[in-house]
Amino acid sequence: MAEFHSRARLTLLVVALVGVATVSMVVDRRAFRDGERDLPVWAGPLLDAAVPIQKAVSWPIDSMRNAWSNYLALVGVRAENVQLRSEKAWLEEQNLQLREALVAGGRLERIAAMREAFEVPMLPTELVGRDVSPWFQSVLLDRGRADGVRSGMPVISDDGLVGLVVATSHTAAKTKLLLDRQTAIDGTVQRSRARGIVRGQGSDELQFEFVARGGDVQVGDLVITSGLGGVYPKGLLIGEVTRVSELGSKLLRTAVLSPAVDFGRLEQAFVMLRRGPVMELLYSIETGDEDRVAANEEQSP
Amino acid sequence: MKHGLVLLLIGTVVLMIEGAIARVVPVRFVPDLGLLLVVAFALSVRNPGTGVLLSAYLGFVTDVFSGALLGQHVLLYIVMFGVSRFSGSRLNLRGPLPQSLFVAVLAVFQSGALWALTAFFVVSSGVGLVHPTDVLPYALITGLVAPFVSEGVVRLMARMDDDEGSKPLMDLTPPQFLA
Repeated sequence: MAEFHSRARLTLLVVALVGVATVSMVVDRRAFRDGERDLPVWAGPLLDAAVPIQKAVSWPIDSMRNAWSNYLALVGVRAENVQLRSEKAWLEEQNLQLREALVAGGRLERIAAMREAFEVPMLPTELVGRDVSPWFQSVLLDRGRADGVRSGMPVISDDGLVGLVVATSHTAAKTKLLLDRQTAIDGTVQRSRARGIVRGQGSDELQFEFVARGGDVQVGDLVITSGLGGVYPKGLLIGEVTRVSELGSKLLRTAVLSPAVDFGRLEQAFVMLRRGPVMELLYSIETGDEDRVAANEEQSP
Repeated sequence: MKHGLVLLLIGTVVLMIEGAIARVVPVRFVPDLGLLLVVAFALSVRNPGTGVLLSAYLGFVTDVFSGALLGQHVLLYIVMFGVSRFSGSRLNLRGPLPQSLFVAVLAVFQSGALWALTAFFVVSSGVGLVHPTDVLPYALITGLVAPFVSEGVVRLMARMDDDEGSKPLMDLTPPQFLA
């Protein structure tokens, strides 16, 4: 009899836990889709506690890695210096010519005013941990709700797009990387303006699906965010085309992208502290909506 | 109760450290410590109820520290615990080789189950398939480390049992002035 009660209790426990897990998945998926995914009060402290522990574990590893990369960086620095000086001179010349062209068109002042009005504040963060499951690609950042980070905010590095904040606690933020299998971003080829969807593969490569008819995509092309998804702002570098598949359906073809960001070496990133609709507002100006800018300027004192 | 709490704490810290190490080591070459702990609990914890609760908690921590939906690993780890417990009662999984093989197979099974769950919940965008080239190194590494983690958990539990056995529940020795 006692054994029967014990088995019944165990069955009830398993059924209850399975039920809670299933409901939790449904609720979490819905929250993720709606863009608001602050971790519940019983989960947030775990993420908060992980930040100092993972920082402590990472510190000696990062120190050794930095010392080694600093040493390597010194090798060949003279040759690199000469090359950079010549590139700098060329860029200065280009910059001067472009400025002159803008001044001539009367647009420089307006662009400067727009930039002040719409500049997106960036929050520097440190990457303290990576996904513990090999089937998902996410990282833990050391800034959270206390610093104004919310789910749905894009994360970038100086190389390009990193991913999207998907969950936050008080002092930490979980960010889903571009590489994750669940990631799908609206992208544009910078050269030909061919549009398509960039998908994570769970590996170090991305897949770019584009419309076969008229889709001009070549090896070496840069793919940037189109801004049409409403999540990522327009113009962020995603990656470079390394292979274009000859095979494909009549409608769609695929290309393989190498991400602009080296995720294996990523240590610092920036959270863009504004979300979707504001991004659209910011980038709608770039599409030639100059009348509205002019009207705004007239209204402002 | 005390044993359970100690194992919870150790499981949490182990997963945090795994997250930090995964920054520098390619993820597919990092053993799945959550799964390894679940198998070790299934083969060594006496009370199955405690084992199920521990596995569910580890699944929850894994969900918090990964890109999975909250509840995904909870569900899987409960299933993994059940499969390991059942297999442990039917097969001899005490030796290092059978344990490694069993865990490697379980890791492959878990990969497929995770992919299926993710694909089911992320219907709108579609989810890329899990490639065998990713699964095999992960399963092999996880299988190789399994006997060590299992042995560690057994030793830890034996030590906790010893500590508890050596201490009297109440101090019944009379005070000095009464002796």
